[in-house]
Amino acid sequence: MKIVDPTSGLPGDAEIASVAHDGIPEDALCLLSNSKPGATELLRGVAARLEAERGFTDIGFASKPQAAHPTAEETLDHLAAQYRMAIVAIGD
Amino acid sequence: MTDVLDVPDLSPAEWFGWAEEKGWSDGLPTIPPTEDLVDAMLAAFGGDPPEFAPIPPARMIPTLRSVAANAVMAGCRPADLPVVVAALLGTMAPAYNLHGSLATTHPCAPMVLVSGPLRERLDFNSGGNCFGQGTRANAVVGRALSLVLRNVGGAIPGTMDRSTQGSPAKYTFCFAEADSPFPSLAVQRGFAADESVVSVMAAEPPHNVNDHGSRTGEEILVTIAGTMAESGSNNVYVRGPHLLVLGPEHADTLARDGWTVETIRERLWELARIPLERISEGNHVQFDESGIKPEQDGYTISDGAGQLHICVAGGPGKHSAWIPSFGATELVSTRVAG
Amino acid sequence: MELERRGVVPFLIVTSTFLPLVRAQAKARKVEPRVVVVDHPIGGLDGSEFATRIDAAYAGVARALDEMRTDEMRRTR
Repeated sequence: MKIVDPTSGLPGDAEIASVAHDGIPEDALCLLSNSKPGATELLRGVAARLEAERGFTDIGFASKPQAAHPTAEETLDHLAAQYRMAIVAIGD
Repeated sequence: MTDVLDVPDLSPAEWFGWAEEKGWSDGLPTIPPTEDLVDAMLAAFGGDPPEFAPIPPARMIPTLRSVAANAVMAGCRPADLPVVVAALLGTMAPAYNLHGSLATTHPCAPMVLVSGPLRERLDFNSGGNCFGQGTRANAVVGRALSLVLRNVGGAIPGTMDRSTQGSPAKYTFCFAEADSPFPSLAVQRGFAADESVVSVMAAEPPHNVNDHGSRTGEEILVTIAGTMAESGSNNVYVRGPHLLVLGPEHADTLARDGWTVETIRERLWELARIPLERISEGNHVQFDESGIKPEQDGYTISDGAGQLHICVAGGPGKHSAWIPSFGATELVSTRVAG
Repeated sequence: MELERRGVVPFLIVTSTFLPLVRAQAKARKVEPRVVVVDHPIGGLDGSEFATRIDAAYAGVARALDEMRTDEMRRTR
């Protein structure tokens, strides 16, 4: 028999342009917390070790207002304009 | 791209196992979405083709055919498809927060509340046992929505659906509101009484409010407020909407005593407070970090009277229900096309 | 993952329990984030338990940074 595939659909992600990183230091690093219990403390702990043992400085920080909410597009754009790397906890 | 699959001719029992192995089922038997059944369902779809958004977590955009295929699998009749589509469109509104509600550890399910003339035309149950088993429309419409989210969106338990315990409402959570002394929820939200409307919210299953003893509306509200003042609810610190479904007898008592939707809402906002001693020290800290402070003698439920939505459903008896939400969601109402 | 789509290199710290979700989401978004897995849970731990999570997360991030540098050197050779 012929059936209609119940999983069928079209890929839905719109392209997002990468931000040009000219002038941003190679090691510009930020933290992004999803605000689940312990996530921010975990990131702060990792950042402290990176500063002490790897010489990172000026590590940025941003967080979601609450774990249940998505990260605001503006926050993502803002981080992308300033940093080359991000440590995200807990990844979503 | 074809969406048609050639599969072996299978008996109903064989199909059940086959679909299960493909990962297409919620654990209950399904109807094979054969081309003729899907075409019949599509032929009965009135309005313009809907513009669907990507469904997270897989971020796939469903087609009307794939929605119809899932509706067939759930047991829908062709006339049910516009209701399923309206519910799906509601969950795609950014305010609903579909991604968060599907990937969360919280047990929320997509609640579907049907208002307007379609309730009777499609035999939705707004009366006795309206949250329970026994009515095809309630059973299959809620189930179809959950199957679309699973099969197209990839919200599969254990992988992308990370709910700690889930809830029975994840199979299907659909009911209709009853006529009552109060304006319907749809009318409260700006729709005309002759429009059929579907409202969705990422919600916990109903929490029962048993009140056989109270004799006045004020007394009933004291009992409802006690049920709402629950220290483990997302509405305490994530805030967001919640829904009070008054049983008809409680609604009649409240109306007899002169209460309106607005005054019920305001009174429950005043009464529903969680005493400080019922919140643990660690949660005080977490609430504070979320910007939630107690008000005088306790924590409030959400951040204002307006977050409480009110409708009436159910049969005879002295029960009502409070439906807390995921918090990071909104009640989204969509007119049913056609 | 949304940062990766904007050109930022992400290091995702995830608990083992949530790894399948993160992997599935990465596949859906067609990105390959560097993932650091730590034991579940993160919330509700006492001080010493939490310190072990920080140790594991730091070790994973440091390793991922080194791998990234090695990859970059290979590419520029």
